[in-house]
Amino acid sequence: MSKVLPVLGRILARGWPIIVLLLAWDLVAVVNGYTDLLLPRPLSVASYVSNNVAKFAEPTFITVALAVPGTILGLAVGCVLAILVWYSSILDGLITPTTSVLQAVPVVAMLPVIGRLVGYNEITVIVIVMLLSFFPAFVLVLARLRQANGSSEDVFRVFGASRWTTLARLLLPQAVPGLLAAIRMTAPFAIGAVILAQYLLSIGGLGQLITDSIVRSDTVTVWAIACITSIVSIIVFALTKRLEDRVAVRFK
Amino acid sequence: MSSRGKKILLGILGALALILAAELIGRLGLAGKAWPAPSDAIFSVLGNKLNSALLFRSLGATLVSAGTGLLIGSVAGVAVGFLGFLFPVLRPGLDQTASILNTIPLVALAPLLITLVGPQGMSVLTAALGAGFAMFVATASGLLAVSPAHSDFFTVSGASRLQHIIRLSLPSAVPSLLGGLTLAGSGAVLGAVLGEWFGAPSGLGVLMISSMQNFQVKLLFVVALTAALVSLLAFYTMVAIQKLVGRRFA
Repeated sequence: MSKVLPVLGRILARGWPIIVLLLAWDLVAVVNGYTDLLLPRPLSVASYVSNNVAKFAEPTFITVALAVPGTILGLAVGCVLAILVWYSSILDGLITPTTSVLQAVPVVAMLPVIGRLVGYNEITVIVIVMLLSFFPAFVLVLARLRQANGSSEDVFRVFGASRWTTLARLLLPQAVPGLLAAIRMTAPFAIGAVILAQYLLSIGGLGQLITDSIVRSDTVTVWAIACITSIVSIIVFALTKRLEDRVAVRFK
Repeated sequence: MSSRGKKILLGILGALALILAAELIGRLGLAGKAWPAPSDAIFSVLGNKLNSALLFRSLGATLVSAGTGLLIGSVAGVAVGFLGFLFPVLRPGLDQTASILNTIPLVALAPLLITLVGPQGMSVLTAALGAGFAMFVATASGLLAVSPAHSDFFTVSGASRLQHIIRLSLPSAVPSLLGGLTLAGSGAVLGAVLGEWFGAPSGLGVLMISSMQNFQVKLLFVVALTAALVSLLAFYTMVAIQKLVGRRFA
């Protein structure tokens, strides 16, 4: 008992708003006497998901799998650009101002344009996720490449290391925490962007399941997807946070 | 040439190269019919009375939603941040929930939000959510950014908790709040456009979807450009305010 209480206290301290939200959700449904068609109760959503695992498993997998290539591409492009900008001051002058202006452009809102351009298919989704994840990687990696590290860099210079050797042996390892932070910042949003694209363009996955269920007035499924998406995003956030915490220490 | 002048020149050159590339891709048809030459698209949309009226009406609707959302979201974000400051017991839960809420995709929240405010209210609400998160984080961290020496001085001089908050914590939070506003401004514009995808009667987001589905590529291009410009404008307005006001509090 003496061990259970502190754990319970910690969960309560961090999780109280979630408990409040769930209770409020249930209360709204019960007090107004809403049927499942209008607003299903949390428990009926949970039991529906556990009875129909197969219905949700495949779309969830498709959605998550689609987020991966775009994120990796975006991070790669961001890193390459960061290295180029670090290497050449002319490229720095040409690229950096434009990217910082473009950063304020709402990428996800450009979905219709990219859909029209690339086609209503998975490639559009990958391009959107790429655009979304490229900027944080560019900024954070560049910042770490440029971070002053007085003595280490002097050692490299004294021993006559070339710029590329310094980059490969000193600066790139130093940039790893920046990349990890970029992954943590973009990965959870990648999932959301994929679902939004699938919803808007009707191209499979959880997004299309939302569209189909709304058409069929299948409210329970819509709410189930909402819960699944939230949980998946939170898991991705927690995993990437953990990765950052664990790995970044080695490169500090 | 000074290094600052060179920097500005290179920046302008980079931007010009980008615009030129967009124009060339359109003129030569490199990306197919879906990529019109920007100059052509702008002239033909603005030259057409019906289209330009539609564009400006939608722009107005989006600006109203984004502005209302920014106001509501900022007030709510600051209020919740302040709540966590006044009652430290609530803080871990609030932090956790804010970062979770920010992670949950909009699509997932959509059914909940639509039941709450209906499709018409969606864009204001999503704009408020976008702005609110930024302001909450800015408030929460800003109120704690008090220099220890000042805090000690207040305590030694016998300041009450209320004086402590009004004379020290609040002014110290101003730079952080201004920083939050720069993110909140463009966040509200993005939120408004996305919210309009869920059944709003009018707005840039609605026009975007309808022109995408009807293959009006020029209109689609110009609407997207307008949305991007509004977002940029919101960002740089906030940056200007930050510079103006922030100087006094730095």
